[in-house]
Amino acid sequence: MHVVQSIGRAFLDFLALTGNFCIFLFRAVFSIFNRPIYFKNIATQIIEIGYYSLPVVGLTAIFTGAVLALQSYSGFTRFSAEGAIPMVVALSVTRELGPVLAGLMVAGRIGASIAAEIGTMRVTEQLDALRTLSTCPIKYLVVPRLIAAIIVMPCLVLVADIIGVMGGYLVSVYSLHFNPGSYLENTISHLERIDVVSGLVKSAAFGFIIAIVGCYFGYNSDKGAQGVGKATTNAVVLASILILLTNYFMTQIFFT
Amino acid sequence: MKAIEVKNLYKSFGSKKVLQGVDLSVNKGEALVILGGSGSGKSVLIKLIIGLMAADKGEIKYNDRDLLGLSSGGRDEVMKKFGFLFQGGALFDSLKIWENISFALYSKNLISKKQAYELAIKKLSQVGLDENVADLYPAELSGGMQKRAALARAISLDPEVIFFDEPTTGLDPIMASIINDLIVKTSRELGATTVTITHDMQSARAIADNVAMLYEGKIIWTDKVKSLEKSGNLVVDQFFHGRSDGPIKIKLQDH
Repeated sequence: MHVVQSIGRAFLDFLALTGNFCIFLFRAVFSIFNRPIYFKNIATQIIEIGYYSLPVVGLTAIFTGAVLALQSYSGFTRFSAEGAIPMVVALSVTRELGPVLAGLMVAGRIGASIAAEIGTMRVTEQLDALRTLSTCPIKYLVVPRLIAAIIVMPCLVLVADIIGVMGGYLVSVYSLHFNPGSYLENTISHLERIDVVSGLVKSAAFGFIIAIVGCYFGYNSDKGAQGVGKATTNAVVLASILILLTNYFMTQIFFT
Repeated sequence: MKAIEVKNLYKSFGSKKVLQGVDLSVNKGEALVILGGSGSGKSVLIKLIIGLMAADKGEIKYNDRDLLGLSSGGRDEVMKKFGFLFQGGALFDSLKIWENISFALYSKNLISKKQAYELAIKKLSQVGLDENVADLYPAELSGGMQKRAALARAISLDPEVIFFDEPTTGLDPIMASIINDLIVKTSRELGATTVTITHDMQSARAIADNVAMLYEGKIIWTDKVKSLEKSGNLVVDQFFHGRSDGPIKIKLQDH
């Protein structure tokens, strides 16, 4: 009986979380189209989410491209298909690894930071203080983060794509002794617009997910340090899961 | 004329009934202090009045205007007439003190940066803080200074009603006394009505014209502050003298 009760309670908690999340999502999206818009906050968030995430996204991308080239080489030499390495690196990075890995890295860095910051504001009554000053916390805190994340993520992924392909190039040319000119020619000739565009569209969706999930858990954080810690963990976990799930469905839409 | 009027107000959290039919009125220019023990629902009551929480049932009026049925636009208009000093100050960490104080106007670009700064300096001087404080962040101030800066923010729009949530909690006796004096001074300068919740009797005596006692979800006693010592009410008497024996039973354990 106890087990059945636990399952039932968990299911009800899941339904409550889903319902509350959908209401929050609707309010946030609705607020994007309503005045006032806090442009200064959007600019601050663009720098916070975009500029400060560049090193971690860049590092992830360069090593991903490099490892991809090494692994492809070790596999493709078995049936003399080394010539396909530039194409494999370029397609893998632009279509999947660039957006997904950048999304996961930003979810860890920014999703956690958003949840912790807004959660602390909840605990210290700063969200209530905003309301006493005739300011809607969703418009002031959530909307700028949403807009900034949607704008910035495609830019980050574009940079990750370039650096990732460069990582593959460096390993292939300097370690595996590929011809630089033919490597680049192979990369460019096999790359189509949809490969890059699909990654950028995905990344905009991932940016939205990271920001809305971080804001939701921060906004609904329980009191105390434990509450903020829990909100931060939940934000990163849920954002990562949603990114992987959304990636699957978007890939299906774009390429099947 | 009544500035704030509360009738038959109810609020529960799950099975816990916090307010069970609160009736309260505050006249214009009056300084009312609401006393009550920890967990008695004092903070909930003022948060319901200013709309930070939704009431289950009842009536809340400001200048005869029903606050519970207001649209968000109407609520924003009314909020401009209210000031609120939070227990912990609730200053925005990421903003400088001058940005905190002029937040209501400057964040919406209703005034220029220069005007916002000048407004902040004026309000800082009203609460006895030096203008050098304006360029600091909240974390760089002591607890007492943060409270004063938060008071400066609460009076930034020259409100008609100011709410104080435990204004002296966490302060040493001297700083508490300074904050009490500031509350009296600033509210008199503005001609504002004030509603303060506290369990600090010294603060109540320094600030209040009238005192109300919240107990078991209801206002059980209201009178002039000078009647506090000889209220003739056992609950008020126990609370005033801080006795452990009496009708107020403190739960030491929930389970």
